[in-house]
Amino acid sequence: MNSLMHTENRIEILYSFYKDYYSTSSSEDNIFSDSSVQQYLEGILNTVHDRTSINYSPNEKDSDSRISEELFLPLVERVLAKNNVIIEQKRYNSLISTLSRKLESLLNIYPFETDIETRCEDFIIEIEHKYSFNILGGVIQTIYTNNYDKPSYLIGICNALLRYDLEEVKPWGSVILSGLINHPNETVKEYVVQLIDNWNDKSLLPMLKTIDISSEWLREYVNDVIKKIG
Amino acid sequence: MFYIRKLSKLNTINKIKYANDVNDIPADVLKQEFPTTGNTLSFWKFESFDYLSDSITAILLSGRSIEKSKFIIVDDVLLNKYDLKTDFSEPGKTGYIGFEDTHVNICELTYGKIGNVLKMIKDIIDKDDYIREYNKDEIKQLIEIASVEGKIDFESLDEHLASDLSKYNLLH
Repeated sequence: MNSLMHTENRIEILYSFYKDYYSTSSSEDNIFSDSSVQQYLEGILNTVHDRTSINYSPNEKDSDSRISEELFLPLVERVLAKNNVIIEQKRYNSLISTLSRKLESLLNIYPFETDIETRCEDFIIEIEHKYSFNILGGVIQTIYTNNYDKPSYLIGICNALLRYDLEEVKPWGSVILSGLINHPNETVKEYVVQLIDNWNDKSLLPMLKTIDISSEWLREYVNDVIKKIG
Repeated sequence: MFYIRKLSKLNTINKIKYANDVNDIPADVLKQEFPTTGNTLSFWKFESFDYLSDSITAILLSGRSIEKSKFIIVDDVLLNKYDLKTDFSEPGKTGYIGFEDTHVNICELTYGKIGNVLKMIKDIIDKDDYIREYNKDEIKQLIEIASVEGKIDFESLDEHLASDLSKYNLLH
């Protein structure tokens, strides 16, 4: 109930603002195109809790022939929709940040403790089961971006991805591979090739053919994989 | 008698192959592929290649995931050549019913004996019969056969492997 009243109060404020703005504006379209107005409205609506529906109807005595629900309500809904997207994005970013920090703390000691490989993998599986592959992709991409200079982190995530099918980790899985395939560390490259070998998908061949290799053992492995997939 | 072990990395064989001598094999290979527990290394035994798929199924159902896998196989002649001893007393942890007792440890390993294990692997490196690779589909097929035959003890499986079996509809 409090939430609803709160929402209605906010809509009242918004409506008042809309009337004031509209009465001084020379064009009906301005309110839709003015970014400062958008920001103001977003500020007002930032604390609105019930964003699922807007049922506000202006009092008849306040009605102005130029200010109608037909214009006002779509505007409010549009702003609320945008506001919801922003809030969801903030929640997503916060979740990715929290999960990434936890995974980083495990990868920080990877693989120097005997059970750490298992714990990393368990946590990655937990993310996938509890949230989604999309969230897992966000976490893995954050780790990849922030720790490109830490081969053990990259090896850890490549190793954990072995259990998944390429289809499950598309599109971010192949994006990460393309970023790592010419990593300066040869062992990172080896894990990338192992993933490609495991996924056995022709779409990855062009990427694999770009790999720059210095060691014979890796060159033979790459040639084997190209032969098998091709 | 033959003995089989799953490699943790698909490319290990190439690393061993391209080392001129066992002393040149990267130390990571030892850590990744031959980490000892109680001075032992875990293998699974089989009497003839007719039973190879059973041994591989036993290994797969002792693991945590379904992924492309590579295996090395050695035999009594090689174990004798490198003075490596076996211990059959520890049953294997596998979800493949009836194959727990096919687990075997190569035991009493020392710094020198681990070197012998590497020499033994170098001996088999060009023998196709002794290096076996199974892709994901082939692995799923082996597990499905075991499932259809009612030979999987689901209670014994690792929870993540059980989840994978469910994901790939391998439960019958």
